[in-house]
Amino acid sequence: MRIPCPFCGPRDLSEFAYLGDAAPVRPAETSDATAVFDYVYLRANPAGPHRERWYHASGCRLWLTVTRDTRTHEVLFAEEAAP
Amino acid sequence: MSVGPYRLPTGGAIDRAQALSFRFDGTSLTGFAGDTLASALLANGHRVVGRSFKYHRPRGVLTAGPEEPNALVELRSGARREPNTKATTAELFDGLEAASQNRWPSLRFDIGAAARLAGSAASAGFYYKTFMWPAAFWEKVYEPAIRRAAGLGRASGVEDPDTYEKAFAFCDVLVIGGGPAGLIAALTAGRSGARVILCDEDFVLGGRLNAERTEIDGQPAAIWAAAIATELEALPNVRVMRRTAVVGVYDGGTYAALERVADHLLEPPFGQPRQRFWRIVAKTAVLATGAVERPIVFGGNDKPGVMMAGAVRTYLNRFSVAPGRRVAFFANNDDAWTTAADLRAAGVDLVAVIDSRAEVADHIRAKAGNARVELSAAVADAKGGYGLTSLQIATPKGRIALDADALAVSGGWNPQLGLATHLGGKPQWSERHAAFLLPADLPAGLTVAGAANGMMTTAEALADGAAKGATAADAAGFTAAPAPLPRASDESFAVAPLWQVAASRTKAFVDFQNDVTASDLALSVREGFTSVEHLKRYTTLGMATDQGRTSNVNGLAMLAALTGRGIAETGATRARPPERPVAFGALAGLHRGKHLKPTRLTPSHRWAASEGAVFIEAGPWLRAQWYPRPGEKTWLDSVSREAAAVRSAVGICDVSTLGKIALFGRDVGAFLDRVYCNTFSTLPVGKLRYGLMLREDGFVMDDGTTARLSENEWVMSTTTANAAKVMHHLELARQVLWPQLDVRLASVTEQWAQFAIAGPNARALLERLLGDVSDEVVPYLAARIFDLGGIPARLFRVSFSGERAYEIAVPAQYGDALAHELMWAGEGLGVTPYGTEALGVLRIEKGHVAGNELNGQTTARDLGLGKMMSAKKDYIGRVMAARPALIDPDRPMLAGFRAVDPTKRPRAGAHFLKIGAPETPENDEGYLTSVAFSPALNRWIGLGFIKRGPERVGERIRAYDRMQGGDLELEICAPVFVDPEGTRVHG
Amino acid sequence: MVDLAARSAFDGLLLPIGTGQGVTVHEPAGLGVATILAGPDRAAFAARVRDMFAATLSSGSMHIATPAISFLGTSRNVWLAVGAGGSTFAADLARSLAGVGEVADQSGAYGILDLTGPNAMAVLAKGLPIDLDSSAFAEDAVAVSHIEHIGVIVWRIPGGFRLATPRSSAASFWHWLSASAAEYELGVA
Repeated sequence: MRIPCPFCGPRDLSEFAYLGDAAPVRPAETSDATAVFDYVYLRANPAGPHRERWYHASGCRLWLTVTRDTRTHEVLFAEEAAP
Repeated sequence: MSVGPYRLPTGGAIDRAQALSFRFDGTSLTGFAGDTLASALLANGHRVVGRSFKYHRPRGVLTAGPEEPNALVELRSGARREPNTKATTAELFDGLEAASQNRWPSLRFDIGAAARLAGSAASAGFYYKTFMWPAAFWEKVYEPAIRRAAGLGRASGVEDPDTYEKAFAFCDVLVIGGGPAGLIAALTAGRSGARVILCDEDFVLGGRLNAERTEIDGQPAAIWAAAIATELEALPNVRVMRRTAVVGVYDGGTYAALERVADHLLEPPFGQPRQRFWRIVAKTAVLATGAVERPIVFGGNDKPGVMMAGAVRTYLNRFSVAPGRRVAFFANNDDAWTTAADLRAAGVDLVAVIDSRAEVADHIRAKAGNARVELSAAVADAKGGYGLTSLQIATPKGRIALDADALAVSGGWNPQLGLATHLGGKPQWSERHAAFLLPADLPAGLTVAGAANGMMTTAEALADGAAKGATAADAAGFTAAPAPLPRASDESFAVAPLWQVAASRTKAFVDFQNDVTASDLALSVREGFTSVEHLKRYTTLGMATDQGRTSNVNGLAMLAALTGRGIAETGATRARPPERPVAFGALAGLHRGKHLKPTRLTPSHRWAASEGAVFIEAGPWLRAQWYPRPGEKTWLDSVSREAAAVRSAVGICDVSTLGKIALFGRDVGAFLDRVYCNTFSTLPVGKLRYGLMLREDGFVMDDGTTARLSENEWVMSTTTANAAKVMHHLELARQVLWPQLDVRLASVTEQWAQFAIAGPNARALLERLLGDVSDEVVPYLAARIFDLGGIPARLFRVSFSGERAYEIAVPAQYGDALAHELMWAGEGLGVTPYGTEALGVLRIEKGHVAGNELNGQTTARDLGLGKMMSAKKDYIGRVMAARPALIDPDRPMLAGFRAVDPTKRPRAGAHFLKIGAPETPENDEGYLTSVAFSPALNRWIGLGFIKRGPERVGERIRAYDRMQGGDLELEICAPVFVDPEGTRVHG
Repeated sequence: MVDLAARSAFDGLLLPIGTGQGVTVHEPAGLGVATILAGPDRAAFAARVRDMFAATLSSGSMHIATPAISFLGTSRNVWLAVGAGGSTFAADLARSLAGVGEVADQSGAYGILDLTGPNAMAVLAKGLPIDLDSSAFAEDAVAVSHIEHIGVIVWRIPGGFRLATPRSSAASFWHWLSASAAEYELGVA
C-alpha cells in the first residue's frame, strides 16, 4: 500500500505507523469517565471509506488523516491532521 | 563427446559450439548453452528424473516451464545444495550438479515404491485418518516416518555462502511476461516515452514464440522476438529484466518480483547476490503471463514419456530434442495437431493422433500426414514399468493397443491469471475457451493481454498486447501511437472439454506432484468435502510447489462433474502470493545473522571496547554490560566491583541511549503539564524535574527527566526503550490534541553523548574538567551549560544511583574523546567504568523503577508514585487512572524483597504466594520484577509487585518460579535498600 | 585546557571494495548540521531568512541551496541546515534566527556520505524506497526516508547524492552500503 503524504509525496506503507480511527475527539478537561472511556476504547469499524490517523514515522513525522476504503485498501485522500 | 541420443541434428536456440558438461546422480553428461537441465536430460535419454512424493512412482519431465510438477531436483552440492528446483527452469551451466529426489537408495530401485503395493494406504485424507491418535505419536513416530518416506529433497543444513538482496524500482508501465503480447505491449509503451519495466522469468525473451515454427512478418517467430528485444534494450526509458518473475501484486500498484541473478552460474560473480527480491511500484501494469497447457486425467498418465504437447513443441523447436522415437498424441483441441506437424517436420516418427472429438477440420487433420488418426477416442491407460511402452486406446470400435515410447497430451490451455487475483478478484469461467478468464474486478491499474486474456492465437495476442500497452501508457500520462501490427498466423485453438477418461482402469493422476488421483477426488466428495476449498485441503490438490498449475482446473472440473454442478458454480480456489516459490534468503536479503536488524552503537563504543567491555543487546543498542578486570572469575565479581566503586569512589557510564527530545516554544510548560502527570510549568530555568508520563488509559507509559535550559527551550529525556514511542506520542499531542499550543519538537537523541558520573568523588572528577561544580553552582536537580574547550557541554545534576551524581552531555562527535578525558580526570579518584548491570544493581538498591517495572501493566499508584499525579490540572491518563480497578487497594504494589537466606538468588518473574498456599492462580499475590546482588548489603535483593505491599513490610512470602524451578522464602521490605534518608545524593 | 577531538560517524569504517569506477563514497569533514524550526510568526521568519541568507525557504520537501548552507525541508516549517562551519554552525544560525525560529544543533547526530558515480542510483535502489529518477526526484528534491530500517535523508549533489544517516547506526549502514555497492567497485575518496 502507498500513502500520498502531503509533505513528502507518495510513500511506501513501511514508512508509516497506524493509530486508528480519526473520529474520536479528546474530551475537554472533564471527569466524565464515560466520555473518556468512549474516547479511549470505542471505535467505529466501517466497511468502506474510513478516516484514520497515520504517522509518517520514517519521513516528516507529521500526523496524517488518511481516508482509506477498508474493503479495498484504496487510499482515497491524505491530509495533515494538524489544522 | 556425445550430443545425446535424443538431440536432433539441426535447429533450436541452443549454441552447439558451446558444450556444457554437467552431472546428474553422479553421471557425467553434456548439454549446450541455451539448454535447461530438463532439455539436456531429455537429450541424453534420461526419461526418469525423480520419484513422486507419496507413491514414489517414477516420474519424467512433463512440461517445459515453471508449471512442472515432476522434474524436481536438488541442484548443486554442499552448502549451495538447493532442493525442489524445477529442472524445466534450471538453466544449464558448465559444472552443474543435480540429484534426483524422493528415492532411496537409487532412482532406479526405490524401497519406498514398494509402499504403493499397499494400495490405498495413502488415499485422500490419509494423514487426517491414519495419524490421529495418540497425539504424542505425531512428533516422535508419525512425522519422522512420513518425512523420511516423503523426502521433499534435502536442505544443505549449513549456512548458505551466497548473499541475497532487496531492491526497489519505479516505472510508469510494468509489463509482466515477455511473450508476444508482453513484447509488443512494452514496445508500444516504450515508444511513447513512458518508463517501462519488462519482467520475464525466462533467460530468453519471446515466451512461446521461441517454441514455435510460425512466422511473424515473414521471419521465424523467435527471430522477430529477438529483434523486438534488441529494440527494447536500446530504448533508454525501458528496462528489460530477464530471469525475473513477478510473484505478487499488492495494493497501490506495488509488485514483488524475484530476479534470479546468478542461479545460472556456478557461483555468483564477486559482489553479486544469488537472487534479488524487487519491490516494483508501477503506475500501470500489463499482465501478459500467457497460458499453461493442462493434462488429461487417464490411467498411467504419469508414466515417464507422457508429456504435455506444448512442451513437446518447445523441446523440439527451442531445444532441438526429440521426446521419444515413436510419439503418439492425445488431445481434445486443434493446437496439439500443430505439434504433431512440427514433430513430423523434425523427422520423428508420429505413431498416431488420438482426439476425443468426433470431428476435426480437414486442414487440421492434414497436419498428421499419413499417421494413424483416431477420433472420438481416448487414451485409457498408459503402460510401461519404468517408462511408457504402450497405450490402451478406447475407441468407438473397442479397446486397441498401440506401441509408443512418448505421448504428447493436451487438454487445452489455461490462461495464467494468478497475479490478477491476488487482491481478491474471482476468475470467470468461459465455455468457449473451456478455461477461466480474467476476473471482473482487476487490481487498479492492471490490464491483461494476450493468451492470459484468452487471446489464444499469435495474431490475437499481438493485437491485444499492442492495445493494452497503449492503454497502459495513456493511463500513465503518455500518448502512445498505435504500432503497426506485424503479420502473424491465426491458428485455430478450437477445443472441446475433456477432463477425465472414464474408461481408465489404472491409477489416473490429477495432481502429479502431490500424487492426487481421480479416485481421491471421488472419495473426498463421497466423504462430504464438496467445496473447492475443502477438497483442496482434504486431498492436497494443488498445494505442492507447482501450485497446481497443471492440476487445479482439471480437479475442479472433475469436482463439478462429481457434484452435478457447473464449473462456474463450483468456482476456483483463491490464488495467493507468491506466484512462484521464493526462498527465505531472498525475502531476508542482507538481514542475516547479526545483521537481522540494524545495531546502534553508543558514541563511546570504541572507548568501551578498549576498556574490555562485554556488550549486550539492549533493543537496537549494543551497550557495555560490565568491564571484566584481571582476576575476576564471574560476571558477578565485575558487576559488584563496579557498583561498589560508585558507592565508594566514582563511576562513569555512557547513558547516551536515553531518548532526548528538544522542546521549543512559549507553551512548552503547559504542554508538559498535559503529557506528564506531574507539574512542569512551574519549573524554573536552569532546573530539571523527574516526570511520569501516562497513557490515556491510565497506565504508565514512560518516565524520565526534563530540564528547562532557557525560557523557551527544554530538553526531555526518555527511557532507552521508549525513545521513539514517546516522540511519536508527543507529536500526536502537539499536532492532533493541542495544535493551538506553541510547541516545536526535535529529536536530539543522536546529537548528545551523555555520561553519568556517579559517586562521592564525582564532583572532584568534574572540577578537573569544568571548574567549580559545587552545590552553589550546580545544586541538586540543576541544569547548566559549561564551556568545555570551546564545546558547549550540558551538565545535569541527577542521580539514578542515589549517590552524588551528574550527567554530562557533549555533541556526539566528542563522545569518545570525552570518555577518555573523564578517565583521565578520574585518575587517583578511583574512577571506574560501569555497565548496564551495575547501573541496574544501583537503581534496585535505591528502589528506582525501570523497564521491568514500567511494563505497561502498572499505574503510578502501583509504582508507589501515586502522589505525583497532580489534582490541579488535566493530563493524559488522568481520568482513566482513577478507574475503580486501578485504585483497588488489593492491586499489587511496589515493594522490596530480600532473600531470607542471603546467599540464595531469587529470579525475576517468580510469583508470590503466601507461605503454605498451594501453587494455584487464585493464590497468586504478585510477581518479582527485578533482582540483583547488592554489594552494599551483601545479599540478593529484588523489587516486585505484591498485593498491599507497603502494608506488609516484614512479612515472609514464597517466591515460586515454576519456569526456572525456583522456590524461595523472601521477606517483604521497603523498596529503598540503601540510604533511605537520601543523604548520599548530596554527599 | 581540555581539547576534545571530534570523531566523524564513519571514522574507520570506509574501506574500498574496488576501483571506484562504478561508485565512490566520501565522508565530507567539518560540516555543521542543525535543525531549524520556524517560529509561529512565519512571515517574520521568512523575512529574516531572506535578510540573513538571501534565501526563500518554502515549507516543502525541497533543497534550497545558498553558497554557504543547504536548507533541506524535512517537515512542515522544519529544515535541516547543512553547511561549513563545524562546531559554531548551530550557534551562528541560532543568533541569526533569534526571535523568529529555533535551532537545535545536530552536528554530531548524523553521519554524512557523498555517493557519486554512474552506479550511485543503482546502489541506493537496493535500500531506498524512493524513485530517484530525474522525472520523479527533481534537482532540488529532498527525501526523508529509511534504508534497511535506518533513517536517511537524501538530496542531490553534483554527480550523485548526499546522505545523512543517524550516527549510532553508521556501522550497520556501512554494512548495507558496502554489500550493495560491491558489485560496482566501491571506491573511497
